[in-house]
Amino acid sequence: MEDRKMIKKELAQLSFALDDLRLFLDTHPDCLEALKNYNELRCRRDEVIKKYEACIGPVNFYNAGGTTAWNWVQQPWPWEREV
Amino acid sequence: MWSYEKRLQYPVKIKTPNAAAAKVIITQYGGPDGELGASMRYLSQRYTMPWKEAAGLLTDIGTEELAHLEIVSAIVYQLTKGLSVDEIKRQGFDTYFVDHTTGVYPQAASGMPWTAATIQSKGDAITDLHEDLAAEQKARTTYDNILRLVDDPDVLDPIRFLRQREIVHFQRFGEALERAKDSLGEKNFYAFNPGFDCGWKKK
Repeated sequence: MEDRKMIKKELAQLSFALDDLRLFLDTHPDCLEALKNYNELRCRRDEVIKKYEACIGPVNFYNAGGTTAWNWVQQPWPWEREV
Repeated sequence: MWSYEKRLQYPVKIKTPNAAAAKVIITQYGGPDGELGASMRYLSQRYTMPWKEAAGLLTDIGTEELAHLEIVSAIVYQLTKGLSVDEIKRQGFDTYFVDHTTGVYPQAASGMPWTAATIQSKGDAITDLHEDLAAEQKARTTYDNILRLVDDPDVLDPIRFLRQREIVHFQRFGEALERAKDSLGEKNFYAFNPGFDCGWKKK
């Protein structure tokens, strides 16, 4: 079981890279290099999401659920001071 | 259009409460140049943007600003958690506390509640994009001012991130404006309002 902190950090970094690149693509929609980067980052992020959801919990509520309890509300909310 | 991910765009891990810092930082939540205003401005302007790329940019930056108001709120929340009444009085937080306790309320540092009076959605693409350029600079200056007033590295870290994003947004709006002017024709991009006048084809 990989380090939860590492997985969270990876997800934050890859997501932010996509956030930044997304804005660039909005004003440079024909930039093939940026498009290629976006697609690559998206693949890497999908892998990290799988690890995150396996070890920690759902990131997006469309992937939430649970068998014995509603898992969406089990993890602390992101504005809480991380212990 | 909104779902969300259960994570902050940038982490907030503040170990030491400080109501005096919270008092000024809250202005980037509900103040005249804060993130709530920014998100409402861009998300309001996007409907009459004649180009889908520009509408996309406004939606994407507007969404990012929602993520930012959340970060600012998390900072205020963590800065005011665990305060004693004595600290509240000493740090000049009593006037906020009496109306909101340590609840997070969208107001400026002055105490003025958030108002749409400080934003504009003019329904004219050239005008709106200029408004957006100014908005990003005003936000950047506000963060500069916060950085002068605050010492705690736990607080400076997310504030520096937010400040940097304003600069990037400014850059993107500049590009959107150039594309808009090119699209309308370099001879006279004031000839008509593409968000309103008929006969202009939406691209």
